[in-house]
Amino acid sequence: MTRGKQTCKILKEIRRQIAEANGIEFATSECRYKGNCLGTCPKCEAEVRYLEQQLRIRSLAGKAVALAGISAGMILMSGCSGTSSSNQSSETLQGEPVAPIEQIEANDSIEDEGELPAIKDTVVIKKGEIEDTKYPVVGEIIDPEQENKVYEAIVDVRPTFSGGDEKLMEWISQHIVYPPGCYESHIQGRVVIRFMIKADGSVGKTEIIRGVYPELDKEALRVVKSLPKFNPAILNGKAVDYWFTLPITFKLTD
Amino acid sequence: MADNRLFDKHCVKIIGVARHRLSTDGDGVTTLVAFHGCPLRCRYCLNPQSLGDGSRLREYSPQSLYDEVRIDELYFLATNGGITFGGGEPCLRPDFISEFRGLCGPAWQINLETSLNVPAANIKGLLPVVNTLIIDIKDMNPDIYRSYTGQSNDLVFDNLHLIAESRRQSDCIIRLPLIPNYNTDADRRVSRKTLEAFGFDRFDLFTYQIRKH
Repeated sequence: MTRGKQTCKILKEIRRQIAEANGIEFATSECRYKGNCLGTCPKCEAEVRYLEQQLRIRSLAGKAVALAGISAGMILMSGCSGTSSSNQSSETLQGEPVAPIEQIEANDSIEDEGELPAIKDTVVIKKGEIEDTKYPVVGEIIDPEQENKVYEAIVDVRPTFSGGDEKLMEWISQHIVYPPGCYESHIQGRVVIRFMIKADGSVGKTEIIRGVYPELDKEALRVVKSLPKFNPAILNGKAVDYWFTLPITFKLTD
Repeated sequence: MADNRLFDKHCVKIIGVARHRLSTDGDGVTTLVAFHGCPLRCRYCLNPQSLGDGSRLREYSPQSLYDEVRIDELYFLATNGGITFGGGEPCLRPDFISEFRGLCGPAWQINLETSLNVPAANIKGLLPVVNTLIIDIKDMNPDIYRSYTGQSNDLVFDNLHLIAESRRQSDCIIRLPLIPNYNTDADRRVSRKTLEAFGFDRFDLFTYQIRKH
């Protein structure tokens, strides 16, 4: 018997017992539907509505209504052929929704991350405010020999934000919005973002090196992408592209 | 202009509603309501859709959820069933669940499937409004826990203390998983002993299923 049919049969037995306990005339016909069912259907639902209506009439008439005390577990064990204890497996206890509304792809960069890059300082967001005692830090060398001439730390002059690191942090603190859902849910943590400061000073590619939570990651990315132009990195007297790593810590304090 | 629903703390995203669960959490008929959002990143997460950006998920208020699930009230009342909140992490939504309790009244069973890895204030608020907590403890060893979930289990310990102080241990079922490649049966025995010292005595031992997603 398919699972849907089992469910249908058990729910029907529950309805029958409710009817019997309350002296409600209840006639149901055998369901002839073949194949998988959801355990309920318009006919089953109509029976429930009928019982509710009958119970309401009894209640209005001042009669006691008997409801509690029927055990779906007992019906499952004793009254329904074809069932097995597999229905009680731990997997179903965990509660996997039957029909997820949305499927997402796995994000391996978050799930399978290793150690974090060594980063000294962070921007700390406290309930939408900034703790401005710490400075952001530029990135580490990953591959200085790479052919596309993007540098991380071997430049003569590293890129600067107009007004310096303090201003950069201040700018971020002024523009970042703690995602309301995360705020309410007490979701916090450090998002590490790597982004390119192009030779013209604008922010180019961005990537999450370490994510915390999709909404926090998204907000951190949004703000970084909206940063005004930097003074670009200089190497041998020429402006060059430069990878910049910035940790942004979302932290809630009471 | 910002979407006001985002700022309504009683409006949440839900990844799925599954009706007519039989004999999975207690003897009653239950409806599973799975929330979006979780502080953990478990390697073998059963509902990874709870971790997506959720932009396509339907939002519910306690009232709209109640309106939808009360279709099965007759079954709930007749079988001592009700709602099981899972996810995701339901204990991130204490206000929503408390408001829902106010709507459904005391007769429905409300169960939580939780990791307890949430601030103690959340659990404190939830204990008076829920009947059963099904706790997925992972492993009590902090190193194993961190390696499997990416997070510390300090909050879990805090909340186990809180539950013990509130003398609600008998309302908890603790799930002790064997997590392939992360813990062993010996680790599990140690976890169980620690939990028994807290006064918990209802355990569910099982092995995590490894899924590809």
